[in-house]
Amino acid sequence: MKNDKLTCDVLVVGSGPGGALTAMILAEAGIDVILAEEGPSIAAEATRSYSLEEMEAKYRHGGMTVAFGDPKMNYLEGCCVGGASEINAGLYNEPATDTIDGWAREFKISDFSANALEPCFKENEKILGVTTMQGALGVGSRILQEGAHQLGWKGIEIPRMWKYSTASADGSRNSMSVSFIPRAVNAGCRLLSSVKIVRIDHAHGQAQYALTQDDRRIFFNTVFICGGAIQTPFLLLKSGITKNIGKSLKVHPAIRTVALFDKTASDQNEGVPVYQVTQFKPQLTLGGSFSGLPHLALWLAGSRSFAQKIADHQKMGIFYALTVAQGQGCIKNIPGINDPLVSFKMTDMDLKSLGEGLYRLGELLFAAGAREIFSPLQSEIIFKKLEEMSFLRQGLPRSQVDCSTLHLFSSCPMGEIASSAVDSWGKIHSFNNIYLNDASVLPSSPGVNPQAVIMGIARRNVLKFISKKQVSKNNI
Amino acid sequence: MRKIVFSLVKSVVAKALGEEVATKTACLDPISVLLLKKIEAMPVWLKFPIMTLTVLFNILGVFSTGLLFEVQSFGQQIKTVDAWQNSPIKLCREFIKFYEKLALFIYYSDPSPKKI
Repeated sequence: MKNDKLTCDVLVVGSGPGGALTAMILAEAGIDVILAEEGPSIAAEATRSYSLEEMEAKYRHGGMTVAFGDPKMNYLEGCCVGGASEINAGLYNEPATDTIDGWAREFKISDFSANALEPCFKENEKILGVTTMQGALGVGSRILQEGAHQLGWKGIEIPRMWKYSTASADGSRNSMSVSFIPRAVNAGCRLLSSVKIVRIDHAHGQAQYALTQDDRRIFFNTVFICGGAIQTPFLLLKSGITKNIGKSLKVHPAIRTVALFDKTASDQNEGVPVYQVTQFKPQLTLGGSFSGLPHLALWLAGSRSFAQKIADHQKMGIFYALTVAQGQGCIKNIPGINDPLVSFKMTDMDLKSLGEGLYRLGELLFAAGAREIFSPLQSEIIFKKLEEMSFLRQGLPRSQVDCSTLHLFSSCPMGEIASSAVDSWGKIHSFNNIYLNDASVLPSSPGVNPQAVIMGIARRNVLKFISKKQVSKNNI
Repeated sequence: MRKIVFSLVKSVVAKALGEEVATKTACLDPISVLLLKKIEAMPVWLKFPIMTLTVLFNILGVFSTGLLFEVQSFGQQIKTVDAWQNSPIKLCREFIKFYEKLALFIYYSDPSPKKI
């Protein structure tokens, strides 16, 4: 395949929520598009959700990815057609209007406001079938709801990108591989799966072609890079594009715990509980994780009476406290190495927030009837009443924190200020034809699951690109 | 490497679920294979430290028992894992925890009804 050449008007790199949406809108506007995805194309129903086989097939590095730091932080990325949307819970949560309007002011983003984004959100929601659950909430959600009710705390059911059919009462994710991507392909987009772009060749502020891992060149007039908050800056850094790239990674760190109840507390069919406690938003969100037997085993590993504990697995659930970190991270390219070096620096305030989050989670779970809460700091410690958790509010000890994140963003922030990497419409400053359209351009933390706002901004930016393209075409 | 990982998996399963389970379970070899595959798939920043530490762990067995970890008796292997698990050095504890978590995750990912 060496020296094979491909050409297109627009190349979209990455097929997650940002890339899939970008490719669909461009293709439906009649533009010649290639959508290149590093991962394989795997049918959405080919693997069980959150299973070992799904990790092997759809996660980058089989799910074994870590941001270095003190403490280190595990993170997850999708690596298949559809990207992260193929492995997450499909939760869809718009940020507060104050957050979006605040971004416009702080980062000087032109024509940007909650009102301006609203039609983009609505259009995406229509295609993705964003909806609340049909039927009763699952057991994990009911526990969270019960705790919130007992304490008088606010909570909501988060809608999901979900489709229900007569074939399956539980429904399934309306991920990119079954929503935007088929529409893009139907409109003429060429989908190249298992094609990794390793470099963007450019000169004098103009990108010319993308080089694939197997030495093919894809020539284009414009490229949209949509590889996510880690891979997008990594590709740019490898291509020698460095200004404000990969230096301001933000995340929502989460700390998890297992609670034991006197009743059934987990149901593998529930997936990720959709109910979240929002009393302390935006700083803190309390919710539930997928609580399958392997995940409980992973969590309880190392405790002395493991066999005894795991025997009660149906009465256990995994729950989390998710915070907005003040700290930030960076993505580095070390020449000759194919993986990005990711690091994240948590501040003392972040550890205090996580400690407060864990304490509040304990309060919620005890109010919901938890008999025991296993400490995520040391596997031998079991909390039996809330007072035993009070010390957590002073902040978690760095050496004992085991946290993780699924929400990564802001590694190439948009705006018109000195520290922004792309302009108000996603174009890299000082380049004519390189756009970013994914989580990396979020100016800062949305305080909620970022999937909705990534797609909202992606739609806004690609529509602007098309309108500019049409204007310049008419002028010619 | 495979023999070291197999012995490690057997020892951590024994510590978690009892020696009888570890001795009788036929799936430990496939677990070791899957675990090695997961290590192989890791980013280079994790893969090489884990592999180096695994080899080091094997060699350091010589100083405590006169034998590499992989050729120690099952009882000795459990004691070696126990010593690392309770070591004052965080890296040693984290190393065992890594294998323990992955081995048990893979063990319980097998949907056959023999578990618990």
